[in-house]
Amino acid sequence: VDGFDELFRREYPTVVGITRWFTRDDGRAEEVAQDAFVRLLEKWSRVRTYERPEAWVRLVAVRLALKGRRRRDRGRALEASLPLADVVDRHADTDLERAVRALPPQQRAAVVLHYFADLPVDDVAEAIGCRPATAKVHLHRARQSLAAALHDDEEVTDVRR
Amino acid sequence: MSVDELLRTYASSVPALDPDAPLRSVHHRVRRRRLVRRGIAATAVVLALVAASAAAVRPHHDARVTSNETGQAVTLDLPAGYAEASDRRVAPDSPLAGVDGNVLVLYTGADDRSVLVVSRPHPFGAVDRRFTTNATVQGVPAAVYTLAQPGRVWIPDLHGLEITVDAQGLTTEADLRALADSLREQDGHAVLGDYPIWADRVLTDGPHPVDVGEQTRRQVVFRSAGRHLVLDVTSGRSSTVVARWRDGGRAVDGLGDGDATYLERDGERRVGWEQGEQSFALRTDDPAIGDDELVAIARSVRVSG
Repeated sequence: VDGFDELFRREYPTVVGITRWFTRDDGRAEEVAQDAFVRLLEKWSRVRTYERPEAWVRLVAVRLALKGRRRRDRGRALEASLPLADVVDRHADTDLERAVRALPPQQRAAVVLHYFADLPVDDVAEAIGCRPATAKVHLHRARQSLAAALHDDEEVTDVRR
Repeated sequence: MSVDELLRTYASSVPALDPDAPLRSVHHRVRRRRLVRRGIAATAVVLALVAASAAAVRPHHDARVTSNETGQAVTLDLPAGYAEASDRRVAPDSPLAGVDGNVLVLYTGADDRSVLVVSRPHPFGAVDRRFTTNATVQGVPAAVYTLAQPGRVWIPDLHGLEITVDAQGLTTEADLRALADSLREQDGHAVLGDYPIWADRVLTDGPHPVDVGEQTRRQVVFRSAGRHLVLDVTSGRSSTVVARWRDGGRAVDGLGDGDATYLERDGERRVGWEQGEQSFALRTDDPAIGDDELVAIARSVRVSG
């Protein structure tokens, strides 16, 4: 398909990197990413005309990951009230990851969606179920918390996974 | 480095993954999903046609209308019953002119439109010889069965049998409704068996004024043309009658335009008419032969090509 394969090769690792934040194992993360690309390919004739087709597939991947996670969490009363409470729960391999994990659930989710998935605030808000202004507040407070946590740690240099 | 820069730098680092295998997987899954959707869509179209057609007919009868995928033909599963023609005429511009085949033609009467039913390869007794030449309809070996006049015909053969109605200009939805409307399931008299022989009349109630002088004679009259009637006298119920034939000579006979044909026990006898529309009668003047038996004999009559 014209242009799709190129986008896939370029974007697939990124999307997997994003979905890893929402899944408990890498295999599941790749499954979700591929699900998103399946949907992208089915709608490729339309999405390819978008300014950023990669943003579309990232958002779809996040939604699919959250959808699957919420399904698994169904029945848990506490998490039902906070659907993204445990959204970023993978083992942290770096100081940054550890710092992100330490954020409150909504702030963690906002950071992952906005920075790692590169989604605009409106999409972040939609994904976590809040208003854009609230999403901005989450991001602002997350940055404050991360700054406090990381600047106190002199060894924060390795940002690779 | 600010937190914002740190996060964006982190986001730019992606896991090292070979995309080729997952790319092939994505293409494969999309192809499969499309195939499934096409199958579902095709099925849905067929089901919709079936539902729409069946809904059009079912209020009247249990006729089940199905359709093939191309919509070029409609298949009717007609219940056993009487087909009742309301008009004997053939429209001057009827496409049936010259059409022949294994078909049952019923006339709606209202607008002289015809319903052409293509049946399985099975010769029908034909009333109207205009439609009895050897031919096929849509590749089906065919003989035409029409009603020479408004009346009824028992068509038990159609029960459970898929009847293809030519939908290419010969029939309309109204025709299908008319066909369904023409079916009248009626138990009781004038049921002449498992073959499409038109019962002119069944007189089982004593004296009658028609063509015989004996007041006690009863008869079942058939009409046919250009075909042979095979009188099967091997059935158990007819054996009594057959025995009487043998013993009593002409207690029961078949008549074709006045020519008597004698039936023999334990065998078949062909009664042939080669020309035009004629009548055939099974009759008896033996009071020991009940009406039911006489009808049973009539039911044994088959039509042979």
